[in-house]
Amino acid sequence: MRLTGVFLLLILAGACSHRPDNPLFVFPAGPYDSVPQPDYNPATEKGVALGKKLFFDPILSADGKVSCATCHLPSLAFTDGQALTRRGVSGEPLLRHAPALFNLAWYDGFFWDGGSKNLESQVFGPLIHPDEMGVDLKQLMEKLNRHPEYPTLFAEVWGTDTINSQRLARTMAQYERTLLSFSSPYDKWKAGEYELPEQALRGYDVYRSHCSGCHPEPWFTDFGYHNNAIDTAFTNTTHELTYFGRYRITNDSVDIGRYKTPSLRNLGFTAPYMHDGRFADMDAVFKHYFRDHTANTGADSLLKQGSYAMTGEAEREALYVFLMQLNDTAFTRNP
Amino acid sequence: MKKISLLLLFVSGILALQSCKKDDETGGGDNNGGTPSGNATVMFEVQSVDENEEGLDLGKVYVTPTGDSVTFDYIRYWISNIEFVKEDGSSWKEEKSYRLMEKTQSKNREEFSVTVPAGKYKSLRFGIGVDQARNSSIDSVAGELDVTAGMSWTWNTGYIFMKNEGTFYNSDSMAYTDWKYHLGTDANYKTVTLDFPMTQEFTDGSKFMAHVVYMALNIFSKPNDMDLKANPVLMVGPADQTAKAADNYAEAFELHHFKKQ
Repeated sequence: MRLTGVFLLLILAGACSHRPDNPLFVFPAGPYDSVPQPDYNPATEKGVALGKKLFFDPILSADGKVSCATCHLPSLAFTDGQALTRRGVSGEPLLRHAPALFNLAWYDGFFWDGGSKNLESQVFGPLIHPDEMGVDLKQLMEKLNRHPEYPTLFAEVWGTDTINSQRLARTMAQYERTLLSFSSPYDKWKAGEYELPEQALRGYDVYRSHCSGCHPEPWFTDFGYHNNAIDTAFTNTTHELTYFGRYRITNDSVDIGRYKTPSLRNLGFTAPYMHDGRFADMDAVFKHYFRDHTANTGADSLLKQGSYAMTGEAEREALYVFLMQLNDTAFTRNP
Repeated sequence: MKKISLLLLFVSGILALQSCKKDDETGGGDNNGGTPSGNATVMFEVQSVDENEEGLDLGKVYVTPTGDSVTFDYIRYWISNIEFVKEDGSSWKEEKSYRLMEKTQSKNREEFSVTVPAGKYKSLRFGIGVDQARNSSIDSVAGELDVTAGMSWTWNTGYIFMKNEGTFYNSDSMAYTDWKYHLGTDANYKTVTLDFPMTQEFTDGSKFMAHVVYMALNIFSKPNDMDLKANPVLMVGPADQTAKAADNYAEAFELHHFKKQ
């Protein structure tokens, strides 16, 4: 399923109107059989195709060498394997880890602290960041409007060959909403098309006991923000409080150290882990979680419930095997 | 700038006062004559001024009422949702009404015109910043509102309503150091209402000049004293400080004069 070149049918939820004859995205029936999208920017087949072209085009960067896909590789579920990437135009390391991109349509906050409220707004962040694509938006609009191809392509989507910031952002957001990952072995198991290995089934029980509080099915994220106790002190106030997590967005002290819950889907492709990529592999992640966090006063209450001393290596291994059943190779091979 | 008397007196205005007190345009307006037709033009001159209402000079040292010595490098802000309020309290509101006022080293954009339907008006109203409806997404393109203006935050979605920077004498370092006020967020969207000296009748083809002054130094002291040394940089937050500064700029606009041309 997925976007095997052909778009499927998008059945929209009530609040999101959509022209019924429009391109759709393929995904299985279930609790996620509709893609939310703003009624002011319904996806069209040509819009999605143009958004995809833009996503992979380094013309959007200051030096013409960096595209969105430079740090969001489809083969890595749209991450780049780096903790803090230096692949932007400046070569300087970013302050946070390039997040995976899939099932974005269901989020109401983007970036690790959720500061960006919608995909149409989020687009501009990496474009203008001096260590990412570093472009001047006015100059970019001039360049796109002079381009031999883009004005015609935008006209096919928007009915005018004048390219402006709004049409650029909305086009790219249309594409990003098509990045759907619901074809993992887990999904096939849920659909009755596949039997999970015995060890994975045991791992599923471990997941439900220990992980599902913040990473509930079927998204394997609660779309929320939590302090998972990886930091104990918050003293670095530089970079507009980047190191304070969601606090810099809400100004509410309860949000100090809280970051967006990433989905557990596609973990096999998205190492290293955490908002700053500090954990190189799942072993490091498990070592962090499977210990007592009660000494960390900022830790989320979900972390403190019960004993987090795992009973043994066998359970960790089973959990790992289960989590790898969430890898969606159909998505990473053909997003 | 132009020095013109605060009072504007013209015949139609007097007639307007005499002929229609209140309520003449409410409840159907079927008296006689019906709704006036046509449009008037209002030319705006919105000038950043100092405490003496003289044009503000970028780079010049001014002393604030709280005793700080400050300079301005630039001032940029949105004037939005311009309304003209009629005698009965109803109003005409401009569509897609977003204009970027700029006083910078390279650009001085403080003038614009608005086409207003004929009628009798008593005051002028506008927002400073961007209303909540459009502030929730920075992909808006309306009037001059556009992310390319460099007046938005990408990391915390929203427009920067009022952006100004400069230097102040820092008694700790005994040198001039930077201050930066980048103010926005929904709570700080402010509406300014400026009453005309008397009701004005806008007739078809008539032209008016609205000279609005923005008292730039007030952002530091009126009504809220700001502590530049403690908080030289306001950017989105801290919320308590930005709220004080926003209250200050909301009260910094005055109608110097409104005159028929």
